Amino acid sequence: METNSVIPLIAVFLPWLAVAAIAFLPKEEQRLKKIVHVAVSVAAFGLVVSLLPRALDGQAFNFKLFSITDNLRIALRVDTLGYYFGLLISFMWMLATIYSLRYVDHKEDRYYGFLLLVLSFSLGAAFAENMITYFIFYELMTFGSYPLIVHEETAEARQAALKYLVYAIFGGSVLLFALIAHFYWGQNLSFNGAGVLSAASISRAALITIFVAYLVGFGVKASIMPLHGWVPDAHPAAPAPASALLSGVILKLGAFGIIRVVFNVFGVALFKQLNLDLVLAIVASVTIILASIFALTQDNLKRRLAYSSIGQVSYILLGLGLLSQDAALGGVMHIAHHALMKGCLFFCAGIIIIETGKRNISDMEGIGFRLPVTMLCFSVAALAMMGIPPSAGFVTKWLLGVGSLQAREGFFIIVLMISSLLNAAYFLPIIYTAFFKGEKQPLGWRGETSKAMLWPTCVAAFLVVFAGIYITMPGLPYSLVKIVVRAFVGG
Amino acid sequence: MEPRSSGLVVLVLVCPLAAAVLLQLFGRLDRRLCMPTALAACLASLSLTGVLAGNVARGMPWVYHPGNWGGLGIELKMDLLALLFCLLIAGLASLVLVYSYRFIPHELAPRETSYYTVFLFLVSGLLGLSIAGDLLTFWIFMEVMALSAYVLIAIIDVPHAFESSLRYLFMGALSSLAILLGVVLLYGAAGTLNMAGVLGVVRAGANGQATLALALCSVGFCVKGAQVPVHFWLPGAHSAAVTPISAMHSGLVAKLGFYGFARFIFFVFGTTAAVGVLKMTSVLQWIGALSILYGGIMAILEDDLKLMLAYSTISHIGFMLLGISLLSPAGLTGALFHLLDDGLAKACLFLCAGIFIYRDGTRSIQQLKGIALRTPLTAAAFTLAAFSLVGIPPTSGFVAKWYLVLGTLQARRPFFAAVMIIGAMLAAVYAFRVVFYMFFAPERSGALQMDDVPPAMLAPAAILGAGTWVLGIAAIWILPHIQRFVASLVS
Amino acid sequence: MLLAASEAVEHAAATPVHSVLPLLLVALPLAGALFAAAAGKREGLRNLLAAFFSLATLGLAIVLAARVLGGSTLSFDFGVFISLPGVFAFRLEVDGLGAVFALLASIAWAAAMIHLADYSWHEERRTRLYFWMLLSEAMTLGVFLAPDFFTLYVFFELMGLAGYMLVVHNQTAQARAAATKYIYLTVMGGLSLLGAIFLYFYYAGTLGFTPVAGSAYLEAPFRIAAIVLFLAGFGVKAGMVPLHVWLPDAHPAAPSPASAILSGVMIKTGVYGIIRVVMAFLASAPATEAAPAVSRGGEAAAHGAAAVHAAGGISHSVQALGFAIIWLGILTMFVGMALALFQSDIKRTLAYSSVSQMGYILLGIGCAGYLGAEGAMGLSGAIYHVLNHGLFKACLFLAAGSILLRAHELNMFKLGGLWRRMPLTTIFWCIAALGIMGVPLFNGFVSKTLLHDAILESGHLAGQAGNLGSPGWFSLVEWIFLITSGGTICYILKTTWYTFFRRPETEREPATTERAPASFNAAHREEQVEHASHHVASEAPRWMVVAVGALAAGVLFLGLFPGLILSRLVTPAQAGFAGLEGNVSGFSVYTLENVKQILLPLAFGVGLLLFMAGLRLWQKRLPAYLGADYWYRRAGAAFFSGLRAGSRGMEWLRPRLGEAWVLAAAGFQRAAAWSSAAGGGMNGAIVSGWQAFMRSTEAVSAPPAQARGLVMARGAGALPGRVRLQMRKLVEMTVQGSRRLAVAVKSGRYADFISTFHWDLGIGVVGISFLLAIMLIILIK
Repeated sequence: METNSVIPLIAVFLPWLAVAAIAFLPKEEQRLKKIVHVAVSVAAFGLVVSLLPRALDGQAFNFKLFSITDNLRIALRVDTLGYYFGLLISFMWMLATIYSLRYVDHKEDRYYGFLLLVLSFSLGAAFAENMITYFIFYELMTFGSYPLIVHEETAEARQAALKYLVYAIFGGSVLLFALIAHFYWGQNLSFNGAGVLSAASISRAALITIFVAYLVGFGVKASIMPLHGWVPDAHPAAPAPASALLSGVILKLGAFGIIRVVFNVFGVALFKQLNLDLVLAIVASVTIILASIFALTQDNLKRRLAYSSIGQVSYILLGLGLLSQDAALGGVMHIAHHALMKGCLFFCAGIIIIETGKRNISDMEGIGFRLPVTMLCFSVAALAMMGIPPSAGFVTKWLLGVGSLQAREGFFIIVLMISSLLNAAYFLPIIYTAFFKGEKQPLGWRGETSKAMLWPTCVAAFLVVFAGIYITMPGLPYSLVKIVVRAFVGG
Repeated sequence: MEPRSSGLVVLVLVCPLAAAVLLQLFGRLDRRLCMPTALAACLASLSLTGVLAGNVARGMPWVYHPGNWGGLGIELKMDLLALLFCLLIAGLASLVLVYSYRFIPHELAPRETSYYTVFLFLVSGLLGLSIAGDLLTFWIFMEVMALSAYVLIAIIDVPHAFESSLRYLFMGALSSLAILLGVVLLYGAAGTLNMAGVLGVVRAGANGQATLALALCSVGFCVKGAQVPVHFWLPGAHSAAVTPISAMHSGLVAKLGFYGFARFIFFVFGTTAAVGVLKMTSVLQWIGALSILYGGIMAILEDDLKLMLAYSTISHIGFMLLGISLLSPAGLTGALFHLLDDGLAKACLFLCAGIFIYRDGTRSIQQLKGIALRTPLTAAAFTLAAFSLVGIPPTSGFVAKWYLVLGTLQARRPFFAAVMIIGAMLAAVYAFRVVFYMFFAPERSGALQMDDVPPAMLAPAAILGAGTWVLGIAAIWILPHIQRFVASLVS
Repeated sequence: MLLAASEAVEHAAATPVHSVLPLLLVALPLAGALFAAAAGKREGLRNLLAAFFSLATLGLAIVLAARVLGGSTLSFDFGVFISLPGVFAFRLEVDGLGAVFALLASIAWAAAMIHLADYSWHEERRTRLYFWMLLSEAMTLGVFLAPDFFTLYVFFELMGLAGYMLVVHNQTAQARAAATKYIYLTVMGGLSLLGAIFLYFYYAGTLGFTPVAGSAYLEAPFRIAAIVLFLAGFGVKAGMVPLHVWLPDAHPAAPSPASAILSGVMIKTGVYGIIRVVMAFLASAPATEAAPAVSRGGEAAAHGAAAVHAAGGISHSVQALGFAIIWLGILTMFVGMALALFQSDIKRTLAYSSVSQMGYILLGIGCAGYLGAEGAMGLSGAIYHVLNHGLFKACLFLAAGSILLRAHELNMFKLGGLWRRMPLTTIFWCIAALGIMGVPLFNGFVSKTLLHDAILESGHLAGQAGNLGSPGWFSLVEWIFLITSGGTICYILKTTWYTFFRRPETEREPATTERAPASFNAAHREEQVEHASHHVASEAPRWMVVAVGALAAGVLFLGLFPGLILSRLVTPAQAGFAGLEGNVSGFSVYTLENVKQILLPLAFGVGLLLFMAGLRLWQKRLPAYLGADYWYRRAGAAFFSGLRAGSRGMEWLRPRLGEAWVLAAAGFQRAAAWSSAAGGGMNGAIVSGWQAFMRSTEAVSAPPAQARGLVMARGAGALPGRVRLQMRKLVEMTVQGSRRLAVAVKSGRYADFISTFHWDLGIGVVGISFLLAIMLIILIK
């Protein structure tokens, strides 16, 4: 079912209102500006949500902007997969924008301007009808997020942001090549359909070239090892809400690109026929294990979380690599589930930094008493990351495990298990240090931090658990992803 | 369609020539009259071209046969390519003139009249070169352009400039000689100077003379386009020149000299001959590739902003050489579009560099740290153009790179796609390094203040910076024409 | 839905009845936890609420057990609310086995909560303790009410986490270390379990406890992996050697009521899981191919033919699993016993004792698997022992709590003579101790007899062709069983003697103190030393005595009425198992033959006690490397030092990589410099050539060099004088022409000019003027 709708377009460009507010409102009106920012992010979320009933029916929304040639056009098309991701993006952004109200206290204009611009670009990428539209928004997002990473302007932040930029440029360049190769051989960049490339007209070598180039190009964002180098630097450097978005959404845009490549560009059948699924699964597995081991050795909380993200994003890719029905379901759902969990964790890390100034885990003795709600949220999300039921993290881990058997790749269960064990090994000491180390102190239930920071954290933590209980609730990932998986993988 | 004859074609280049003469008059009356006069001439050319544009866009070029030299095939021809470049030349020249109004008194106060006079000669040379329909006219105007260029470099009162100019003069003279020899050989072979006529003869049966002519012209144009290993005249010349002239040089002169090469390959020799008989192109491809990498790496190593931009010019002309010598439709489209877009971007970057020189007296990139706090608009313009330089969507640089890389695939030379991608990455490194320093470097202090440079300098830079983005989007309307044009050539 | 399918096939006999009871059973303690937490600082109210909710749960469990053991299966379905279509649906369902376990759990928790009402004054952070105690009860009950491995896993994990809070509660260094070890092993176990469940789900076609008929569960190549993972997952919780290492640290570290439920019930969840796994295997084995029926020793020969027939693959798998579990059980019981012998801390002794007792239970399950369809004897022994151990171990731990509260000491060598001060506690302790020793009329005797008979049956079966092992192996099993029983008697007697009956040795300098006393806060230390040395203990507070006494009564009850328990409780618990034939409801426990079995261990145990006491060997410590824990520590340390070495290596490598890059860049720069020098050289040649040319012209015409401040000017100045003269004339003419043109324009005569203007001429004029202008500029400069 296809309908034309202008709502996606409005949602994509609505955040520019914030930029307009910054440009046209006088400098003193910080409060009014903040209201505009939050209103814009809420409105964007509301617009996306307004499409939910129709999206749940499997409808796609079209909006064509213009075309360069018949094969090359700039257009929006919100299919279920794109809608799912767009919903997540707008939701996470809403939380992060609210959270930022108290977190960000200097150069707010720049920060909010770019924050909401990146929202615009990310939504544009999620809603892209074809690869070139995706690529354009993706690259804009890449560069738009640079000021967010460098925001603190410390030496490390600048170093990290530079590193990010270098990696991103590398990835973007390779991606450009992939895109052009795809266009040249495939002639069709559209996402509308299950696989536009065909082995009949394109040589095997060309197909593999295209895929590898896409994998490397998107892999930088999706932080596949060894392209992950920027992630552990960028996350600690960025402000906490930006880190949350970085892990929750921006890394996922890379993974989402790979999903598009697998589902829409190659199509599942061709992808399997070329044995690329196994390649992807192995690459993802190596990343999962290594990232978890690296995470073990980090003392900086945000750095540890960053390594964790590297591993977790590869869960998505593992699901794609296994590509059985449940594995795909789990992989794609993990985009949202991990975003919620990691978003919550980074929000907590931000509160810790703001309230106590502590960044290293070894300094966090007894912090659970000072910040009880925060650390409870942290514990919930961390346990979910380990895959403790009932939680969002468990659901995806479960689906991936079952999926790996469906795919007759039982080996990958071991990867999942080892990874979960390592997750436990690097998350549990944090909880342990926070609650059980150090002297006993009175609990600081009241006034532990500002509401603007606490509420988004709690909402994320709540959803982490809720999405693991009422899994099938319309609007939660399962309801949308199952449509996607049914369309592309079958079942 | 039949070309139509009109004297207006001549008038396009007579305007600046006449103004050059008038300037000698007005300049003596009042130096301040120089710029308006020159500007009026350029705008006149621009509007004349605009008048001619309608028919050309519909596929009907304008021609004019001056004098009674029809037997020799002397002709001026305003076809689509010429039209595009005339618009670019006249437009860019107008902006640079506006910029010069405040800059030139600052740099070479007593020699303004001379400066504007030669500037107009340069413009008319460029325009004539673009609309030449025969080899002799082409050569003459190329020389006009070249001679004015030498003078404009030497006009600044520093020893280094003279030395650079001299170096340029010698290399330019040698290359002109080589091209002249080629022209003579072709005339000997074909008995006509008209490009179309020569093309017919060469197509009928290329012989030794044509081969030699192509070799000579290739060498000549490689020197003009500063390709490795005959590039060494360029960095000095471009960096030593007074900044508006650097902008003209880098944006137009180096490229238009090179644009001639495209004319020769496609209008004089024809692709069939070039590929089938002459076997020159693979050498040229390698030269182009080498230039891309060499220019990019040298630009990274450079601390002098103008030198960096000069090396970047070498790299980008390498892109064009590579794109043309691939002899694929997409490659040629990309190369021609790159001529346009890099013209805008380079001019903008040089103008911004000039603003930094004007304001702070510094050319060192290290010294630019934190300058965005004091000159935010200039820095923003610089950033806009830098994006185009790198090829970030949706800038015009992206469009050009898209077609260039597509061209490599069409020509079945994916290796050069890799070279181009690496070239783009190098561009990102050197361009974003500057952006990074400007916006996020450590040495920033004090509050943000608006640029205190004259609007007459700021506006052209800003217009050009925005132009790179506008052109990227306007490519939708421009590209079909170029593609149609290219298709008619290559088929 | 897979679950529905599996049910339709397997539970045809007992169609589940929809009932809200299972939900209530989980929800009640959960509500209790929340209420207790809400009551918070109002301690009396909180204690009352906690006791009320745990007793209410007990009542509910009794009602539920009555209905379920009466033959109906109760189920509660959450519908789509908690489900993942096609994968799992979250339900609660109770069959006989679950009901029995749930009943035991409710009893133990009720006792512990009552005990806690007085004991909790000994602790800090009391509300937290209440909250987690009740929460862990809810989760543990959830494990027993789960209808499938998925739901079981969910509760199992949550229970494991809640257990962490109990272990770590004191937050002393010791407790924290124990809790850390506990949580890592729990997580590891949970993960192996998850892996096992994946495999089970895939190959058995269901998550339910009974595989889909004809499923590939047993033929699949992954079955060994599934078994190993299942055993590891549940074995960690069950304290199975060699995965027991967390247990002896964690149980003593927790507050005593928590220890009681940890040891009494929570480790039974592991056992429960293993029973489910074995029964799942058994259910998938076709009944005709099940192991031959061997009800009692001596009848085996009649079934020889059946035994040969049974040598097929499937029953063989069940048998192999059983055989493996038997050996794991034997190992566990012996190692636990041996380690318990050398402890001085009462709670540590009890903890090792728990390990050992879990070995008994595993042995029973193993025999059940080994015997296949006729495994009712082994299974009944296991279930009976689960009940027994739950009661007497909880009782002993609670009693230890009473001792700690009153004597502030748990080192048995520092205690003594408590029977005078705490008579009731002493009596109850002794009842439980007699239970664990397996003395007739006490409950341990019943289950040990059942287990012993199961071993004998297995031995007979092993004697037949086509079965795993041989009678020799089983006689070894029997001997170890007897020795372990003897050792158990020895360490229990030792503990009882030193703690309660020996004369206190206050005047003597305490010998080497093996361990710091468990669970003391720094504030208590002074007081504790004082109390320990002066023995000012008195009888425990009322509610503690009640709790301990209730459990002791249970011990007695189970020992006195084995027939009742076997027929009403143990046999219905096995009713739901497909593939299990026969039962033990008619089994008579107190025969002379059975009672004689106790004599040998008893003699061995007492003899060992006297021997060791005589030689004063009790206070020796075993070398660390004998314990599995030591090797785990070594492996962990090696892993982490490997990691550290790796990261050091990276740190070493990174700057060197950087240096290499810098070197490469420098090299490139040098090359670039060289190339531009070459270019410069060429340029230099050009310049010097030009200068030489100029000099030569100068030499010819030799005009005076005019210094104009420009290098360039030298070039112009070097032109011959005549040329310059001509040029100036040209310039003047041009300027004049321009003036005239200007005049014409001014005077308005330009129309003529325009009309006569010919483009060709124009170009010519302009071209000339252009060339002139170039010269002009050069000269003007």
